[in-house]
Amino acid sequence: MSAVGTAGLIRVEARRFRARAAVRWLALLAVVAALVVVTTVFVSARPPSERAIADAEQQYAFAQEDWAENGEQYVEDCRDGEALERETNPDADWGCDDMEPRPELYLPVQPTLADSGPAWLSGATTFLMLLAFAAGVTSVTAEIGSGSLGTWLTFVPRRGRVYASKVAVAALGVLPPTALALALTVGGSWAAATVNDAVGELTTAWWADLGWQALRALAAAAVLGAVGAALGFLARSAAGALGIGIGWLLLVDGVLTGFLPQLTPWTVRASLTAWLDDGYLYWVQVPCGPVDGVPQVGICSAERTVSMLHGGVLLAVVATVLVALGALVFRRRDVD
Amino acid sequence: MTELPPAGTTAVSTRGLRKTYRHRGRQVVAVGGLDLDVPLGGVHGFLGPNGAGKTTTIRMLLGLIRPDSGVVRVLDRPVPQELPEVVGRVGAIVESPKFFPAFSGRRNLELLAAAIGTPPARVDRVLADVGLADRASSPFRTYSLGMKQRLAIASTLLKDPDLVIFDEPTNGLDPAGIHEVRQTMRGLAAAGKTVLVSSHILAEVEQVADTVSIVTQGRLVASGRVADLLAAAGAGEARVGVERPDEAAVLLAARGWAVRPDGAGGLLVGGAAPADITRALADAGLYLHELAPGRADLEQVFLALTGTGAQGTAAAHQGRPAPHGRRARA
Ligand SMILES: Nc1ncnc2c1ncn2[C@@H]1O[C@H](COP(=O)(O)OP(=O)(O)OP(=O)(O)O)[C@@H](O)[C@H]1O
Ligand SMILES: [Mg+2]
Repeated sequence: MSAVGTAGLIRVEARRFRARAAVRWLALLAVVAALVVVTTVFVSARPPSERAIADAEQQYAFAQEDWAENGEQYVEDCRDGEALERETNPDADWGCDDMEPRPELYLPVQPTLADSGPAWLSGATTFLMLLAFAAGVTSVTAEIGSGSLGTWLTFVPRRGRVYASKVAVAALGVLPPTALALALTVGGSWAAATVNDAVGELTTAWWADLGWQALRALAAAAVLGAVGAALGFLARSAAGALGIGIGWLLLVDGVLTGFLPQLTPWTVRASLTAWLDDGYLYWVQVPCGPVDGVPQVGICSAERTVSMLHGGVLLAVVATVLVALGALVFRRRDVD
Repeated sequence: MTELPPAGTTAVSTRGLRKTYRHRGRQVVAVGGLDLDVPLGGVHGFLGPNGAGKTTTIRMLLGLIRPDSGVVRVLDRPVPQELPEVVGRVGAIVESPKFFPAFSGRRNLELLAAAIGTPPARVDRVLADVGLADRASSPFRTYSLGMKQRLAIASTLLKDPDLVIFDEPTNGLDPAGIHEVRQTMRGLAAAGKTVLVSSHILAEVEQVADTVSIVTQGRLVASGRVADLLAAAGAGEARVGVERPDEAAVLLAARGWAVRPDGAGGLLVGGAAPADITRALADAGLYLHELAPGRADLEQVFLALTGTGAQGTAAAHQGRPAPHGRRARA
């Protein structure tokens, strides 16, 4: 009999991970999430119905009639208003020369896959992240709860290896179902758009964006799986670990951004979104800046971004700290 | 704290082993300076009343919990420092068998076997050994207590261990199950392995153990060969029913035997073989109508040492219902 090394232990843990019913259910949920996104894409890519087109044509006809009758008056009113505003704001431009109704403003548009960009993917990724976290948590807490971790340790007493193998498998194990769900989302959406003849021109840049987004989602899923496992070791119960994870996102992050929006970049939620969606926009209240050298009083909203890189680094730091903390605690802790 | 015995003589040795728990701000001493020696080979009973610290001690032997202080040596290796080197030679069942409830017995064993590099073929062999082959594919949670216990025994056999530790292995088993577990323990001992079995029920261990250690409140109160412990507690008293007890008492006392009334018209005679008592009384023309040979059992030693139930040796000897009931059966 020879003890197996860490790599061998990872293989055994992977077998356990795959065989878990909870993990299979979570994988199924990932597929369901993908199908939901595909359905949404399909519905929104439907060509406009005859009825919608007829309605739009009627609206356009009304507008044209109205324009023929009152158009000149509208333009005049517009110019007057613009002139009035220019007394305080010389740059005011009401666009009075371009008021004639045009058909494209009335006819329903059919959004194409190419226009929508890869953003639709993030509809699925947020949910996939939650599933990855839950899979990491349950892979550890189910063993602690059943007491079989104690039995395991009487076979594999090196706690460091046991911990490393379980965290590694939680990280790696969520990759196949996440990748499958992402592939289904992309493939399914493409098929849905093709069926509706609403693909548009998919450029190399479009595919590259999509590819990077999918890769970032996979990396984040692995990190969340590992964090879930670490929190499982720390909290020792699924309810506890999920409570800490989700409670943090909702309460700590929520309260922080609510009361001190300028701290948004330091929240896990904003960082995760920024990482997944290539940046995260938020608004802060700032004193209004001077306009043309004239100081203004009052508070203005200003747009800020959490960059993708910032989000990624913050996530990596948080994950490293949690995984290290879990290792320290588990090495010394009594196991029932 | 005494020295550890020389290497190669004990399977398990502890010195000054101590573990306290903090529970709601109160300190609970689970094990308070235990010096335990489990000789190499044979079955060693680890006895003590509920809460004596048996399970806590076993957990420390296996590195599941960390002692506050003290030293532990298992198969001549310091634990927990060199636990990884010995754990492959130690099979253990701590408290109730704990496996993954949704996995079948076979899958549970397959994972354990893979973790220690045991060939998968051995899994079916040990399952057959414990008579679980036909239920090996059912989920562990559907097993009866006896089947869970068998699976746990099967898991210890995966390692082909030199030391097997059973913590209250017969808890909740039926008589046939208890008998089987005893057979298993004797079989392991006969194969040259050391078996450490904990129990709070004396009768259970008395029949299989070669040596015992008795603990109470986390400390060792007695240890040694079962026969020696019994001898130290006295050979026991024979109960004698005879025609004229007063006359008989004088006569037997004159032979140098300890004699006292049993409180029910009979006599309790210590230090004499039943045959000698019969002959002495018959020679004097006194005829017996009852002679129950004395048999000190571990139960008495145990009760006296651990002070469970009635206090002290005297109580144990003065016709407490339990020991008497056992003696009548003997
Ligand atoms: N995790 C724990 N937290 C707090 N106290 C504990 C813990 N585990 C054990 N104890 C206490 O330590 C003491 C010894 O417990 P232990 O389980 O070792 O006894 P035992 O000899 O195995 O008893 P039994 O025969 O009932 O199994 C008891 O007083 C128990 O309450
Ligand atoms: Mg116990």
